[in-house]
Amino acid sequence: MTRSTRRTIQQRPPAAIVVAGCVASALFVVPLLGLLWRTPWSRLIDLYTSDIVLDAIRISVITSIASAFLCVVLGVPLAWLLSRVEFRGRDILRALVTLPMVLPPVVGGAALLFAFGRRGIVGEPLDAATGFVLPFSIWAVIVANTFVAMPFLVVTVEGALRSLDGRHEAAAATLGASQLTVFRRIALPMISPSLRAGVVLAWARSLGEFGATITFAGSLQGRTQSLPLAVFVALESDRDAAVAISLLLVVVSFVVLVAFRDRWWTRV
Amino acid sequence: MTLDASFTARRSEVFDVSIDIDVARGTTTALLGPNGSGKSTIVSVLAGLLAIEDGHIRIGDKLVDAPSEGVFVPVAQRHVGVVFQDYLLFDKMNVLENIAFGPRAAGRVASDAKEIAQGLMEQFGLDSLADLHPPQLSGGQAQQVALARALAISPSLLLLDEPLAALDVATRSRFRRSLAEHLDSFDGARLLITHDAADAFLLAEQIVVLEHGRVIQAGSAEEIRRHPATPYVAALSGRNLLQATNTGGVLAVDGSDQLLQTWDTAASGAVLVSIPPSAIAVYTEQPHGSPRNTWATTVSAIEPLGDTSRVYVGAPLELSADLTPGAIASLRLEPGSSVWVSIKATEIDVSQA
Repeated sequence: MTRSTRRTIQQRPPAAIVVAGCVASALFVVPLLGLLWRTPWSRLIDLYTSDIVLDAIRISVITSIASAFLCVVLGVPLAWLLSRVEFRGRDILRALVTLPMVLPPVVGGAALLFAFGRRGIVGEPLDAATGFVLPFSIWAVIVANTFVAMPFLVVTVEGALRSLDGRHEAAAATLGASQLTVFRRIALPMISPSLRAGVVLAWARSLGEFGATITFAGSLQGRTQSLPLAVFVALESDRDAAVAISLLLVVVSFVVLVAFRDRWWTRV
Repeated sequence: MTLDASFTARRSEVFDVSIDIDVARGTTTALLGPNGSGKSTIVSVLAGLLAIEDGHIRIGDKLVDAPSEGVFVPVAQRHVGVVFQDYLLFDKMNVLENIAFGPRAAGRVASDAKEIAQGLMEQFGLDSLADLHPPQLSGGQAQQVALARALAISPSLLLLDEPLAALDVATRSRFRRSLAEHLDSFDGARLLITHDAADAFLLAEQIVVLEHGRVIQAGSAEEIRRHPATPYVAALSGRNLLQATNTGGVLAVDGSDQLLQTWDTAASGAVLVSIPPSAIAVYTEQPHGSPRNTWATTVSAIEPLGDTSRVYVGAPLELSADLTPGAIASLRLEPGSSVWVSIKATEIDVSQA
């Protein structure tokens, strides 16, 4: 059948569904319009070069990249263990690892504080032994970010590893490769698209992290105040700055989404 | 013996495999059986991917699996070269890296591993493919790379799991012949797993027929052909397979003066000729018809096979024909009888070798 003779039959969708769909879309579009509406375009350059914003950008860049790095070096081995080794309590561990995805981040921050705080179960002996106090330092921001972001990486990578049928890995083993070699040279390259997606998801999640960070690391400008924290503080003091930082975060998030759209949006 | 395996292994609650198999150094044994007969379980067991429940496996002088002695050598230390059914090449590596993977994993430095791989690629005529990645290879090329990769670890046992099944009919005979040459150049024990009787009879000296996880017959190709233990084996081994040269429809059969006429001229040069036993007619007097496909010979043996009997005839062409016991009685056939045989040209199947 040629293009000119093909008829497409599309029924008019039910009105109730169209209305609900429009309301839902408005929920996403209107706040963005509100943000653009309030954006102080003329002051934007000044705002972005102010100390408070530059400090926040620096903290956010350092901590989000550091925590994405930690997510990979710790999360990938954990994903391998969860997908490839049968051990007692594996299902419980998997549930615990994914808990931060649904837990209110502020609860996570409080839990981190009880563990690593000056009086915490780990924090107290650590302080006594080394004098190092984790909370309210840039390290605390990195730990809080990693706590909320790593589950995204582990879930993505573990799912990819479980969906490999294992036959290529078996073939590599017959050629004499150790488990570590098989993982590094066969499994990891095969799941690299999922690994990349997991890294980006984890990085984006830690860039936007607020609740656990403010609870565990506080909001100290130049030390622990990341971009989302700076927005929250600026809402009280300088609304224009809050809008400017928000706009920056929207643009970054949007760029990430577009860059990875082929992975997350399957277009027919 | 370089492979001495006698074991019971269990794939699931309801399916177990129990076999006894010996393969001598420098020889090929075929494990012939239908799908679901337990062939892939045996591959897993010998490669070390599945532990046996009972028995022992010895490869070379080394005991690799023996539950009663608490011995189990894991897959990476077995040195069993495996050519998997769908080859399982590593798509992220090029051909050279695929072949060098084994030596590299064994701890050889990169330059040594590369040298080993290049030597094999030269032997297989794969030099020009070094930089290609597996998805760019044809089925036949992929099979050769898989074989080279398995041989690169200098295995003491080579397992070939349906090495020709992924190829189309047109290329299968050609690669079967090249596989035969490569197998001859490998001096370890070779175990060929296949459901295709042609592979088994053309590539192996010894054949083990497997059904439902049990060996139903084992012996040389000739013994199996002569004395098939079950109708299944008879059906598998019945087809007369000949290697010949086709020149415009005239087939000169290797090792025989007899010429055959075929209408099939699509495949020329070296060909594989297959004649079903039911296509061969036996007479006591010279029949009328094509003089080319009719000749005088003698009955060498008669074997009953359930509903039919298989009549073997000798020089100039050793063939088997299936006849009913009634026909055998009315023709008064017995070993030593002088007979005429006739084959319809249209029943002779010719494929490129």
